[in-house]
Amino acid sequence: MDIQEFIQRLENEFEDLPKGTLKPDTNYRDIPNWSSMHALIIIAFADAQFNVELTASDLRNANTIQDLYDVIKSKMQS
Amino acid sequence: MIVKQYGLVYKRIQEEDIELVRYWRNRPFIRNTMQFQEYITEEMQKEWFKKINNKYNYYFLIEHESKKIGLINCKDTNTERVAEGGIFIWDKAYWQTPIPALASLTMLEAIFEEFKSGDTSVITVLKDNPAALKFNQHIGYTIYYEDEKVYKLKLTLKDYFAKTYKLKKAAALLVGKEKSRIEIIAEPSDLLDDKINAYLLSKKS
Repeated sequence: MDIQEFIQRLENEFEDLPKGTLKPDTNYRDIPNWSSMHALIIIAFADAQFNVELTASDLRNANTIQDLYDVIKSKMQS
Repeated sequence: MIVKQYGLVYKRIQEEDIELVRYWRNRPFIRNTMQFQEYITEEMQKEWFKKINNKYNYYFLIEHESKKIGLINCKDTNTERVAEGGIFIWDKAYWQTPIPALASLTMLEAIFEEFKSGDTSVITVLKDNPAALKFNQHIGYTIYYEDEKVYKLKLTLKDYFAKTYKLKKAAALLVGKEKSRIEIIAEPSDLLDDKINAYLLSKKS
């Protein structure tokens, strides 16, 4: 899975988010109408799609979509 | 009544809490998200508490690590199996965290799964608060009415189970299984709905 495929899958999770909105350097907290619910959606996404358990500190330390991709990828490999 | 889940503690408000709630409820960044936007006086707050301190209305202070950070409610439960929800978090440090989402999930789990006291939850969201609209749509709320100022949304039991399954699993991953179990501490009383009293008695036996 490369970053583009990761972004496509993540955009599908956010339902009404127009495709192409997210870029690797997008701060995911800047997603339009971001709320605390999105954090849970990202955790559910990582669990369901990659069998990866993200922690609160993983989320705190990640700012961009690239950061999320990197942490999920590293946990997949460990 | 005290409810605990996901590392948060919810304490039903007492008269001594209402000035704290009034202070934050009057702050413009909270007041501007509410339907009722007038300044609330001490007298008005006392009158309000008299009206809501009964078995049909449940207002809880939300505490995280012993810090009071907001208020969540389930009100007007005397309507047949329908109750109105609401939440505001006054501590801005928590806005970008999963905590408001966790609080909403807990309140709905208590009503729909523990007490089984309702089949539908309704909420009102101002039209100029799209983040709140999206937040609630993620839980499964759908718009059933709108005018120039507000959306009214409802959440059925069916939509609640369909939409929150993944979110609740994520919440458990976030805080750990132990903390994800809901805990309700209360004694049966006249200030609690019959369904809740029955629930408490069944847990005792």
